[in-house]
Amino acid sequence: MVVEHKNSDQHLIDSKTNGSSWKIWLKRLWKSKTGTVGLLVIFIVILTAILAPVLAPFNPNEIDPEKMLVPPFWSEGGSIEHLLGTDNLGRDILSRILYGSRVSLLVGISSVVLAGILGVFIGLISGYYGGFLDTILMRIVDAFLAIPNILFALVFLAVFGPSVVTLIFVLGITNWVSYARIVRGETLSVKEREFVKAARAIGVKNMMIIMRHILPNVISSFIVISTLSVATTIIMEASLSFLGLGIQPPTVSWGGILSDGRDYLATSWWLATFPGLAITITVLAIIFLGDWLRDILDPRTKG
Amino acid sequence: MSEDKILLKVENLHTYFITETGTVPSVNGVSFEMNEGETVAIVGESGSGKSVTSLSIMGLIESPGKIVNGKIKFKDKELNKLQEKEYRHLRGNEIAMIFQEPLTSLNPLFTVGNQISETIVLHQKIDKKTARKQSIEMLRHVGIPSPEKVYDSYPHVLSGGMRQRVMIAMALSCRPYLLIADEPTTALDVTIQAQILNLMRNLSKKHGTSILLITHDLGVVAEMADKVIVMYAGQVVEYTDVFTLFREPKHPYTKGLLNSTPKFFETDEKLESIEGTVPTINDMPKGCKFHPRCPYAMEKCVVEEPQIMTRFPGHQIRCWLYEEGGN
Repeated sequence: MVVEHKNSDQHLIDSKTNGSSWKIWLKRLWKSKTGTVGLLVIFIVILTAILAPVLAPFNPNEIDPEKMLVPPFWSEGGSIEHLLGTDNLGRDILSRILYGSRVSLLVGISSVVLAGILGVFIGLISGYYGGFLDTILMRIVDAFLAIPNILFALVFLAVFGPSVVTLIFVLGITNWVSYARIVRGETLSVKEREFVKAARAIGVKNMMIIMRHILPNVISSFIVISTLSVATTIIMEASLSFLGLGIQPPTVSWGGILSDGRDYLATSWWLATFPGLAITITVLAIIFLGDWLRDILDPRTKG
Repeated sequence: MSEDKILLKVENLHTYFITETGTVPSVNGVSFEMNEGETVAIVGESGSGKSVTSLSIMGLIESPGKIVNGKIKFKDKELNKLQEKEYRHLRGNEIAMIFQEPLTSLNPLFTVGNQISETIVLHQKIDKKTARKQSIEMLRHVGIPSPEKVYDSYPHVLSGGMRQRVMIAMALSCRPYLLIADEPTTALDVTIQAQILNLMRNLSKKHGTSILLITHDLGVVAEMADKVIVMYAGQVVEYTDVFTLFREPKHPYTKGLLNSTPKFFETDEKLESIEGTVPTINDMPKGCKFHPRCPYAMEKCVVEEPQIMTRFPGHQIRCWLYEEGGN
């Protein structure tokens, strides 16, 4: 008894010195260098998106016929005025990228969140309950897979008109199926694990089992795909913009700048390169962060 | 507690699995009863329907499985007529179950304490702090050293034996009347097995919990059970108290099972086995289901299926050899 007493006291001390769980998270974030880099980059990108009007040296849509296709400042003929050069209409690329991050992040992240919520929910329900419901839901998924994404998006945007909201919506709708498939598959395997049986044997409700026992066990694969999917979504937004049904000018998006610059790739490389770089760095940061998130969600990695 | 108060009565239970390729009768007319405080063991080979029987009692048979016939009476309730909501209230609260694989019976993503508290909070309207206290008390109760520490541990840091203790703590946390233990020691090594069995026996005595023990280990049966049900191909073939079973096993299958258990002093003898395997569902033999493997099979066994008969009160058997009081 005395020994047990000591242990309980020890436990109290431990939990005090460990501090809040918030601090533990930060500590573990610091341990993962890639996670730290990812978080920092995303933080910076979000900050620049918010502060775009303050940071941007020019109005992103200001046309200057006298300074068309000025190269970045370190190249020959470049000027310090336009750090990353100008495009074919003389617009400042840096300013356009800063403003473009707003729309691209918004569209990329919200459509993935939308697709994720829809897909995860349907995947869980379908996998857990099985039977007739599963058959119906999976046939719907199949139907979605049978239609090319871009075609579906084009029709949808042509009907409802292109805007940021419809774009988020259409990208969400076209992407949920892949989440649904993967989450359903994972659910099928997790629900056969004994702890789910055990939970049922102590009288836990189905919905509660799904939320408490299955969802946390399938969420890590969702995080991995969704971080990758932010990238494809930004690219898809670019292709839709290229086809004229994405973000409409004068609103700027990374995809839009990228496709604008495509025609000048051979002569003025900076038009497409810098927005491309912005996309790459952001996506990489999101992937790093996703990786780290997946790691810390596994209790076995806790120190 | 009176010894002969009936807690659970299973009557003529039929649980079938209805699949596209045909109907599989996993449990085919099982009847037995359990008194309060009693430990009943169900033994049989893999595929004899013992686990399905226990899941039927828990109401956890999943599609395509279905209880097609029979009655399960628990205290004064008829279980197979209960609404899912009422059933859920019973599970964990009045009937609890522990499973074969302690390694996977706990959700790896939550702490042990979190999961024990879940049961308590679910069935008793109490706050988290009290649930924590009760859970730790329960962990101490099942012999876990420094339960406060284990309470906040994740399952992967615990050994198999420890996890099974946690499962038992979880199952008993609401003081159920009946504990169904589906091969609780199969996945554990022998020394831990003995500890776990001891623990279960002590706890059951202390709280008057009845145990329905599913096992294929006759050693465990001898150790734990008051009554034994021997199952073969979905049917009860012999049903008696543990002393009668070990002293004078009557059914050829029971004899076979006992003979195929290694004995301590007869080391030079070759271990006997029962020839053949449990028949598959598709070629279930006509007549007695055991006759192809039975050394005493007669002509009658091939054509006609024996009914379960009472040799004397407390000893039931399904075999033509004992027809009309034969011995």
